[in-house]
Amino acid sequence: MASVTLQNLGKQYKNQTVLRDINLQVRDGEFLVLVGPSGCGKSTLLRMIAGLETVSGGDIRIGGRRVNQLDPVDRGIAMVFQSYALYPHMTVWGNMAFGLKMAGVARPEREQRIQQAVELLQLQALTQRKPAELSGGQRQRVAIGRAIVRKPEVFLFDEPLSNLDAKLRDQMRVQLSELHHRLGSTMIYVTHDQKEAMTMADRIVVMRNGVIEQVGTPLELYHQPANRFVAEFIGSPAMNFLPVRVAALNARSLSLELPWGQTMQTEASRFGPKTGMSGLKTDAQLALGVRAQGLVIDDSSDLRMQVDVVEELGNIAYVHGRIQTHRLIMETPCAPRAGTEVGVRLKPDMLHLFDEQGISLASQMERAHAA
Amino acid sequence: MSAIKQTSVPVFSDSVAAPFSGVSRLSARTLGFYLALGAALTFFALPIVWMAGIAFTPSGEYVSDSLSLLPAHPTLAHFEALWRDGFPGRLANTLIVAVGATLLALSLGFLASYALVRFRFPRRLDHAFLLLVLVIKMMPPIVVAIPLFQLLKGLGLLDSKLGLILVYQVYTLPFCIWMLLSFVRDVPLSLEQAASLEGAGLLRRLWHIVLPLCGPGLAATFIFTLIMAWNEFLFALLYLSTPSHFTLPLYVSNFITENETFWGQLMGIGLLSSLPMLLMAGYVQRYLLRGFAMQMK
Ligand SMILES: Nc1ncnc2c1ncn2[C@@H]1O[C@H](COP(=O)(O)OP(=O)(O)OP(=O)(O)O)[C@@H](O)[C@H]1O
Ligand SMILES: [Mg+2]
Repeated sequence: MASVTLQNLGKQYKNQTVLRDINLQVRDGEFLVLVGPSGCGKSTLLRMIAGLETVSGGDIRIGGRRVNQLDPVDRGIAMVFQSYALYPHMTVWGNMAFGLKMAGVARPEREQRIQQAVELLQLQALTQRKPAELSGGQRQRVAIGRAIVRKPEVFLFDEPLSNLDAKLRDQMRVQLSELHHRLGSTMIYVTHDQKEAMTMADRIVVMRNGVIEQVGTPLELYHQPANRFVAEFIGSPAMNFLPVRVAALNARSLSLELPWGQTMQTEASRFGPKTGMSGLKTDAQLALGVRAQGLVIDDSSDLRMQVDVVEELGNIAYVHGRIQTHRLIMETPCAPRAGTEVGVRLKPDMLHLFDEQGISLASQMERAHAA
Repeated sequence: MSAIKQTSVPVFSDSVAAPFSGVSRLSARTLGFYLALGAALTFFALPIVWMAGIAFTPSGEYVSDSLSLLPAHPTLAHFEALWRDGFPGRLANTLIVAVGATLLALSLGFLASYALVRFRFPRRLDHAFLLLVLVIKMMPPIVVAIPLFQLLKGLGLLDSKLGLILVYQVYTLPFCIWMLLSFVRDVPLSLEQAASLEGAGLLRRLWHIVLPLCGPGLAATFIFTLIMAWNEFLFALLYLSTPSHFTLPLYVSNFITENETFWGQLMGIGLLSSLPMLLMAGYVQRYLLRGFAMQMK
């Protein structure tokens, strides 16, 4: 087991910068998830850690050892590819044995390790099959088994579940989490599915355009997104944003004017203890973020929402609607009917404020405080 | 609703009516198919049957004007004559040269095509190389015959099997490179990356991953290259001088003399020399099909 440290890591292809100034400390035994939209450089980062891509700048350390120039095999890592990359001409058993043979592991030990992995992943009935004779989920398990038998210090996963159907994906998510608990190894996991990130991660790294936007536990990212991008990316359904104006401001409270003219009072401390010091002034234009769970039906409210579409999920429903021209998504246990109009209230403790650059006011507070 | 009805009617009628109305249509089509197949087969098989017929016909009978394909009095005389004349030695020569040239071209071509697919070459040198190779292959053999003669002479390899094997590379190697290129390209890079993560260096990856996955391609290339080398005449004619070193295509020409053409022996050689190829093709074809079926989905 080992920690992974990335220092000022950068990657360039010809004159295109794909990763810039990546600083990250992956703790020993941690399940770290890299998320971000397509093309943001997640795979590239993972492949650099694996040694499949060269490093353009900065350092990679695994277990304290600088590995920039090390061959992939000497880094103590195992990688599960999105395509699984199982050797099609070898049986399941052969696939798992290959790496051990290459490493010169003696036969008895080899068989014992493979047997263990086979039992752990319930592949007993499949050991003599070829990959073409397996289902997607089974191939996935073989790919994981091939990684396990090598007893790596760090596991790297590149979107391992993206080729599975939704139900199997749910199962495999749980199984992978269990596996992590059992093995206790460091795992770095790439996905663009925020649900996978939220449910599996000890910590999540949100990336965009080759830089890290925020690092934190799933709940930190959910409740304290550092900026609009993270707020939009984490949590489902996506956060609602409304343009608001600071109507009045003092040490205790912050009064916001909603786009429809109403004002609402909030505690200033929610957005940091020293809101006044952040340079926030009356009349400043902000973006108010509120999650679907932060909107509730309240017929006494004078915010009237036109209900357009209702997505009924059984226990809850997502209500898509409009207040004048502003589209909103609301989560509610008892859905109104489409075409009707309902009163809506914003829960004051579930609001986020972002400045014109999209930076969260709360995180600005912290930064100002730290400086 | 109406859309459902419209589509459901033909589906229903089709599935019910097919077993009845389909029978005659099907058999007519099948009949046509077999007729066409039979015609094609006759067209291609006739020369072989004719060759076999002559090979078993005693000398003197095949000059008669009879149209019969099969000999009236079958004989093994031509084969006996060939056996005594040294056919087995020429067959061995051909086998050694053709198989040697093929294996050499196949192994070099495999390595070359791998390098061309996987390695980065500056200034598109790989494309230039492939074009050059193609140009060489398209040149008429006689153009390179004299330089090659000098080369072989210098190496002391004139009139030798090894010399011929080397000379054949002018044609077999480009062919192998071009054939194998697409097969190597089809091996997913991620497989090799997975293998290299597991500690397999270049040679082990080639041996354990790329080679087995190119199996069908190698088999197909093997058989085509072998036929090419097996039937080669011009270089053998130019560079072999001792009759006992001759390959079969050269040996055949012995039986066409100024005074007489020994049709029986000629056809006997034809028959005997195509047998190994047919056997080989049959065997490799089985492997080919299995290989293609086995390939990843
Ligand atoms: N070999 C390459 N040459 C040039 N650019 C590349 C190369 N490989 C990747 N890139 C670029 O690097 C960027 C990051 O790619 P990467 O594969 O890491 O994205 P990703 O975050 O994994 O996306 P996805 O979620 O779609 O897998 C992309 O803009 C891509 O175009
Ligand atoms: Mg990717």
